[in-house]
Amino acid sequence: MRFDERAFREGRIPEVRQDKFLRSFRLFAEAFPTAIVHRRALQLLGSDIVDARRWDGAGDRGAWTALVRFGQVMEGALGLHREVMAFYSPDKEFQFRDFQKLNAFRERQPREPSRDLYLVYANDPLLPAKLRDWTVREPVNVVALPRGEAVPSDAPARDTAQVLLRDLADSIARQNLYEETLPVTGRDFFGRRDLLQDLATQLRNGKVCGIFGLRKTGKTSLVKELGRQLVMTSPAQRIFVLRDLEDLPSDTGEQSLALHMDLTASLLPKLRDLKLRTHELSHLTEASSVSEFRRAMQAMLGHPSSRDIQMVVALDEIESLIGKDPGHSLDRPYVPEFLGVMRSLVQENPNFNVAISGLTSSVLEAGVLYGRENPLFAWAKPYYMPPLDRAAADDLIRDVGTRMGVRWSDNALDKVFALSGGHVFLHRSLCARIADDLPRDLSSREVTAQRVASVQRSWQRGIAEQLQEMLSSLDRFYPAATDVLHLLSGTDIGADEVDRAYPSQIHHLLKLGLIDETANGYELTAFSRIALRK
Amino acid sequence: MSAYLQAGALSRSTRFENDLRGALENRGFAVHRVDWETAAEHGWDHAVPPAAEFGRGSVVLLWHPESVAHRRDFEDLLRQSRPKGQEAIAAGARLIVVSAWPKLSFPEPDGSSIIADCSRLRPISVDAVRLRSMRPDLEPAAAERIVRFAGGTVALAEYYLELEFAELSGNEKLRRAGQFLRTVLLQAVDELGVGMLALLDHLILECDMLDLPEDNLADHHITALESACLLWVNDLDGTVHLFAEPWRAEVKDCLGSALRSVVSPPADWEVLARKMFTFERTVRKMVMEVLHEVHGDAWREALGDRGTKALGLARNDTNVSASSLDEMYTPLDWFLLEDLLDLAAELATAHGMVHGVRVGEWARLKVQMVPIRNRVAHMRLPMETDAATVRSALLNLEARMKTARNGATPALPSS
Repeated sequence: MRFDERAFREGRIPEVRQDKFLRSFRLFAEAFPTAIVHRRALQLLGSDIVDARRWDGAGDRGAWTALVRFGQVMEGALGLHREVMAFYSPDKEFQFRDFQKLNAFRERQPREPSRDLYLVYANDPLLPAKLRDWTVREPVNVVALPRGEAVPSDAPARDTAQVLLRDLADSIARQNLYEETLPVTGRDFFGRRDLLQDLATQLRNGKVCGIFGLRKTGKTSLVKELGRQLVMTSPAQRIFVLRDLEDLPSDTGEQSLALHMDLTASLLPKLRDLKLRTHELSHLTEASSVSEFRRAMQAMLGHPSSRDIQMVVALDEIESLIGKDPGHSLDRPYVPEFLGVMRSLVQENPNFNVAISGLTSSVLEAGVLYGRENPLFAWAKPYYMPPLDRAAADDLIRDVGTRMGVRWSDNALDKVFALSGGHVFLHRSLCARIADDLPRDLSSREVTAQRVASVQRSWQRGIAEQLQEMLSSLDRFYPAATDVLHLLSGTDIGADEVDRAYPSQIHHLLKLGLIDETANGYELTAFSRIALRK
Repeated sequence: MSAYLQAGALSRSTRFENDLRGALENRGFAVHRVDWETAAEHGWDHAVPPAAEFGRGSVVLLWHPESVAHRRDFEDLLRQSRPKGQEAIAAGARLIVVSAWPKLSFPEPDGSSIIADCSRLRPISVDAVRLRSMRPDLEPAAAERIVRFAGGTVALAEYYLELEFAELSGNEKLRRAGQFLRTVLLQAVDELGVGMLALLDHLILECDMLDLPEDNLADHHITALESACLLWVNDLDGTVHLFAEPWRAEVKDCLGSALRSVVSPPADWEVLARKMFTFERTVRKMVMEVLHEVHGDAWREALGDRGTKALGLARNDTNVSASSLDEMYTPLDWFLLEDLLDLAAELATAHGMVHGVRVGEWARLKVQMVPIRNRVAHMRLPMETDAATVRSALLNLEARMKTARNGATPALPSS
């Protein structure tokens, strides 16, 4: 991206001239004369400093922050739509502890600036190298403002503008925000609005829900986003606890205790925050039974202080609790017992509900669990993770791409969606692969259909092991459905025949997004085609 | 970020852990090694420091999970690793699972596993420039030669470099190089696991294929072999190449040696054998029903030469006193699978279909199932897809038989 002074005039930020700001900036410039050059450079880039503050807390003495508002050209090129905080350190050596404080300073700004990008100034010749090293390990961009002297000439400002533009562009081009292994929420969560709406309504109406889907379809993200939205609407009256069941102990004898003790440990801090009754729960011990847990929960939920509070417990990775063969094994009698407790608490307390998520829907669909009747059988509603629809898929690509200075042609979006079918893992991994190959020069970060096609083979190889693992986990929990999938993909068996013979397996395959129903029968989805190499 | 580093025999230097640590620490990372034995004995809370201690600048090495693969609770350990791993990542740490095994060698726990989440780190390739930076006195031609014979792999390049400067005769250097190559190749192949060994057995010993179109191999096999430095992909012409050229003389011998040492059945062999049993006996049942329907009590006559062959096999193997087919009551039990499927195909040709299965399908089943049956019968290693193929074929037959029972399709079409 070239520095062309005339080009940056378009949509530039008007120079800030308010007295209050000018007084503050004067003091700022006394502390950091180079700020004058920086401001001039930013103005040459169509942008400006709009706020400057001094910090005098312990350890911060002499530090300043400035808020930078970028002009139209910079916004469009770099995907920066929020103000950016610049941190000015008075120390000759910029320390890692100062780097660690950046977010804290950001939160103290009068208007919330971007959390994706920071500018930093210190009179430390090693600052750029330090920031490059530290941000290899960080999901944020931190760019060094050039050192220099304030002289009465525009030349240094032009040089500074060029260097700043180059460093900003390089910093943005270096990251790959499509790669994401942890659950996402908020602005990073795309699509599934209808499903979220449905789930929220069900929970409000006291109905237990189950959310099921293959690995890497976004179940945990969905549950976390559901919880975030639930609490956000009324933080003083909502409690959401997500219990990841993967860390249950190996010893099945210890699992029962771990179940309710860990849940209690998660609930207590939130109950205390809202000053709710915790007496009975806090007196549970390692010797307490699940019945005692139930009584303690009942006492808390039934207490007057809890009446107006809505509590949801989400049990994630449910297969860790249920196992792969609950219909035939007898070694986990505590499972139906615990689920029975959850059901009775939901039925007796309108202020309590449960959401379940994971790979296996047997928790809701099996009539018998470990030798006993399943208390959730035909009582809770199962939902299956849908793929992203086209609009949400495109939103994800474009929105995230904007933050990386990447532009996508319509044909490229068509091609990506055709390959991924909206499957979140395929979608993100393909975009990440494409982004990896893009040049750093922001003016060349355009993705066309041809570019998508060029990485297709290497992308498929790159995700092959993860796809194989996803198929293995499908086989583990839905072995019959897996067999039918192979049958459909490997033979010419008629749709009518397979419908008659294996209706529940076909149902699971449709719900899990492995086949689509067509006028002629069934066809493999994009995920199945890639995973089975068809 | 979480990544999987398949540090197979060919990728490991003699001081592998030190080298890996050093490379990370030089980049400014604080390295924490987590041993699976500690997690197994004392729990993950003990093995992995609290997430607050990681945060920025940390790399957590989950070191060789295969060291506890023999434990009965190994799947539980894998499952429990994920929440702790995700906590560390959420705190800003990078996580690398380091293992000599391919990723797919690890079992699937009931929940997810941290290994399944990991993206792949490509193995380091050594080139002449790198070698000469390690030994500036190394001649360029010698550097190129070492790289070629090492196939760019770290373990071989390191050893050959050492040999280059050793005070030994040329013949002795050759001898030691050959010996080392064989040792490392044996280890590399052994680390692949039984499933990949079966694939290499099929490709190299059965089909003599070391160079093949990329589409002939499943992507996850390509990835596993590439990570083990045993395969190279040529994206220009869409081919893959197993074992570097200079190694190929040793390959078949190494493979043979590795295969001979396998005496325990693979985990899925029992499932495969059971499904094969059900498949074959289901076909016998289907064929018998049709034979009865068409020929009544004279069904034995329809067996022809195959019946005579079955009688001969029965008499060789047992004390059966039958002197003719008329005295055999379960002659199909002595049919080779290919003969049984041929008979089914003949019946389908003569009568349109057998229990809804047409002649073309019987022919396809023969091509698919006979090699699998032979692998089971000869106690050879099953291919990864064998169990799924048999299960799918069985499902197909069961679907047809259900349809026939429900009257939608008779065992034979009415003429």
